Amino acid sequence: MNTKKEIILDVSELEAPYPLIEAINALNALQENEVLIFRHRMNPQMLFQNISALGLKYEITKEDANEFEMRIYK
Amino acid sequence: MFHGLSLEQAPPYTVPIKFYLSGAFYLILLSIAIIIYGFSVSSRFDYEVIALTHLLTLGFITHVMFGSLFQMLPVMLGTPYANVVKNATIIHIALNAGILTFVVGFFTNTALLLYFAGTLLMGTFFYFALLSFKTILLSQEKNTLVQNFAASFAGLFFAALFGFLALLGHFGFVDTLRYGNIHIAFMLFGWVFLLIVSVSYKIIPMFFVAKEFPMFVQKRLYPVQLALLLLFAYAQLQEKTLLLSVTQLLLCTSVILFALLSILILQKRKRARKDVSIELWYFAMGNAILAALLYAGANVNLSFAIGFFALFGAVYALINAMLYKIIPFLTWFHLSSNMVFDAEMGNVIPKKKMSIQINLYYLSYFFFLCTALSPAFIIVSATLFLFSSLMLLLNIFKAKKYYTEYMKKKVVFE
Repeated sequence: MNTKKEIILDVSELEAPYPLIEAINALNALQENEVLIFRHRMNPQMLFQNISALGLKYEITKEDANEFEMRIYK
Repeated sequence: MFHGLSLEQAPPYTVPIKFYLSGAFYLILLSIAIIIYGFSVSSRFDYEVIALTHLLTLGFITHVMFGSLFQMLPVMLGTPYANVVKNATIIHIALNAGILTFVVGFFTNTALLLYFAGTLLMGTFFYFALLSFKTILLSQEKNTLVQNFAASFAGLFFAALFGFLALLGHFGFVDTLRYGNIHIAFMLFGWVFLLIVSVSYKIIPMFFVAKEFPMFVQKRLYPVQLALLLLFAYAQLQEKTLLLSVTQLLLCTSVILFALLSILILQKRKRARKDVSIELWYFAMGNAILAALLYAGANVNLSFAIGFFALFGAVYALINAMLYKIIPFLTWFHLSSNMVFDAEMGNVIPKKKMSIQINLYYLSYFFFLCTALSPAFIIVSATLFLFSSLMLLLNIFKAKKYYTEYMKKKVVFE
């Protein structure tokens, strides 16, 4: 996973529903050799079903107050 | 290119919308009932006042809250309500039958109707609370937000129980005043306050690009509030005057602190744009603080003024503000999950129509205050609120129509 190309998506300053739209677009475009680093101000609860529906894996790397980050990959 | 949402847990769009439309319908009934009965009321114990209050609390507030929970809870938990369409229909029918018989029972002082309504409403609330608890128990997700929702259901459970006991008191079986006060406390400080708090934890950061509420508040406020409510009930039943005053003061302190904190968070938001929902939110929080100060300072039972500021000024306004964020999002959300991608959240309900409706409400509120000068203002106020409620109903219909029209554009893959 470390050798994968990192794509950073920061939606922390977007209001709903745009974080979700941006995230789903990025998930759909994600390639085998890429890892999406997703940053938001809150836990994106609605996104997890999409991640699992697309058969992707994720790992939450930061979950503090007002700061959320996860790595999503194939 | 956006490729849609995967939202297996969400109920059909019609489930929450049906509850929202019913809620707005009861506001229309409330306005008409105020025009008819508004002049003849003098005390909060008048049967007409009880009927009018419950047109707002059961008719509007409960409908909107149930509708929102049917939508929000499964998405947050990742677990759907069991048989959601069937259960939502049963609850919707039972709730409406209960509200109508309750209100007619009080307006006509008919004991049989009140017994029937009390039993039906208590059964409906218990059923909804148990159904929601079961959904939470079945879910893997037990985060702080879910715990807050569960606490509000506990508030609902006790509020319904004491409400039923208070109703029995109207026929001389128990002390109505004490049970009634406990019912009001659990309903307002438990079910309604904790639910508003829970929804705010989610909605404020999500829709207003604001910071989250401090985790300390999210974790500690609800157990403190529930403990205070139990103490309040004990003090009422055992007639412990000092304890009653202290718990009353502390319950109000929670409300004031939450209101101030939410104002602070909203004022510090990153994208401070003019928004009718934000203004209404500030207005609601101002009213909540005013009502809490009056209640904390009053060594008497709830009065008209406290009820007015708390229910009409704070709870109604806040729910109205939330609806204008939730309904457009919900409409977009369901369209997107049905592979309709050209829907725009901002076009679901035109901003101008929202603004007119809210301004009519502000005017109605102002003329309600003027009834302190002359009772005649009640007619002006109720008429304005009737127009405001009609517009709210039409705005919700507009969202439904938007959904229906865009669903016709749905892409069908073979």
